[in-house]
Amino acid sequence: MSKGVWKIEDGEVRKAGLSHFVMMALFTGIGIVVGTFGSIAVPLGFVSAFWPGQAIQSVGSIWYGGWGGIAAFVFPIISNAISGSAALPVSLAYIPGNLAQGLIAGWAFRQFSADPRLVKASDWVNFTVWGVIVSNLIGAGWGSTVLTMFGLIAPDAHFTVFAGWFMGNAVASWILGVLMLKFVSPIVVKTKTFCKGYWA
Amino acid sequence: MAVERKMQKTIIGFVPYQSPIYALHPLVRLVIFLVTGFIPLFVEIPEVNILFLIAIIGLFIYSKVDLKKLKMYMPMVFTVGLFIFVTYLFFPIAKGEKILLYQLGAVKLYYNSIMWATCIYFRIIALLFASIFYFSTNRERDMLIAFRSLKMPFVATYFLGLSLRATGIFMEDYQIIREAEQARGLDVSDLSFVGKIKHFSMYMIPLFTLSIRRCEEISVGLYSKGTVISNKIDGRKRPDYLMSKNPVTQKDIFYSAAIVLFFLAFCSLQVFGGVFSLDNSPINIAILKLLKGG
Repeated sequence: MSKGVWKIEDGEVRKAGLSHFVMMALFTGIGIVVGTFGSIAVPLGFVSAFWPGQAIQSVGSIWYGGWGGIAAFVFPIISNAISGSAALPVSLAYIPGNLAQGLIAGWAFRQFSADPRLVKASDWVNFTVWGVIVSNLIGAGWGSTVLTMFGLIAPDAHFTVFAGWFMGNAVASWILGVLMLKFVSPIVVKTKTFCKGYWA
Repeated sequence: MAVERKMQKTIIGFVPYQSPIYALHPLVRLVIFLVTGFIPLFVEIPEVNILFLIAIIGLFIYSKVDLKKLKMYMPMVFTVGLFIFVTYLFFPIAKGEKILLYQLGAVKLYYNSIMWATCIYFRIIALLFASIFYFSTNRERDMLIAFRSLKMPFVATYFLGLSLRATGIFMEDYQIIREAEQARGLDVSDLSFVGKIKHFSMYMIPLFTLSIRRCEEISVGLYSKGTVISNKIDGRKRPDYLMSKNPVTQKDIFYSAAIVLFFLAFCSLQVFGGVFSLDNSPINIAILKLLKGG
């Protein structure tokens, strides 16, 4: 299988640097805005019916590897606090779920050499399966479990909340994720902050 | 006549220009935030969380926060309640004695379930207002000072500062794009729900392109200024301007310690004595008495 954009050319040196750190911070800032808008736009209690922040998480790790993964679990803490959609202890408990949501797509795209520009049908499948379905299954599963553990939802409502969370986030993240990958990836893969590996 | 502006726009909200709360060091304010962000989790009695909520609103007034700015959170307050009560209505919990209040077809309204929903609702609203209070009385700079006072690594606080500044830059770019669209006659209010979602997504493309360009500019700027994210040169720590202007005094440590001790004492009342359990709620006791006819 061709490695495509992930192939390190002969003599090409890739090192993590200041620009990656800056990009991670900028990406976190973008996530804060997108996450806050999503939570305030269509709030349904703790579960937003439209949380495009998940697309930022998946796409972040596809473009920026581990840097995107760090941004993925940091920005929801801040955006939840600003939008008032989750209290601090709940936001902290969400961290493993957000981290998983932020790493799975990045891992899958590198593992299966999928093109972030969504050129082939297999790239679309990879994003839909790993970046949307699997990520959101884990995220919604973890999130609804956290809500149950904090007593914020009735234990018997666990599955309903999980399903609502999954559907709401999956649709929003697929729409935004596809737009970002299709239209912004061609620019991103040419920049030096794009990570062919996990950190550079 | 010039109108006196009471609130100042920050990257993440509005804070008062003048406030008595600013007399406290940012570290003490952060400790208050952390403590008030956990206290309601140890309380089941709705009355206690309502009192906690009143205390937080009292702090808003004392801190001269314009309460009109809280209007944007009202849909959240309403939908949180709706969400909790609906889930507890359709999926009643087994906790406590089941007392059927009303039945409409297959839907049964149980007292124990609704009472528990009330506990959870006031708990989460108290937590949310504690969080909103912090962001309504602290600027980004205050947050950085507080985290650095707690000896958080420089790299982490630098990342936080840069992220918050990036939020501001992104918001500004968003505003420019929106105004440009409005100038061309786009009225978002006419769009359908699906249209609004699609439109929101379409903002991302120019915004990301601008961010990528900004990343290059900021990186080059930091590099040319000799910025080191570890804040160390030859193994030695560089002077920190923010901390030199806002040193932590003994008084601040005393206040922070006192708040933490109060928190520990409060929590131990629940953990070891169950003082704030629902069974001790006067309203719950009174209603149960009424329902059971005792």
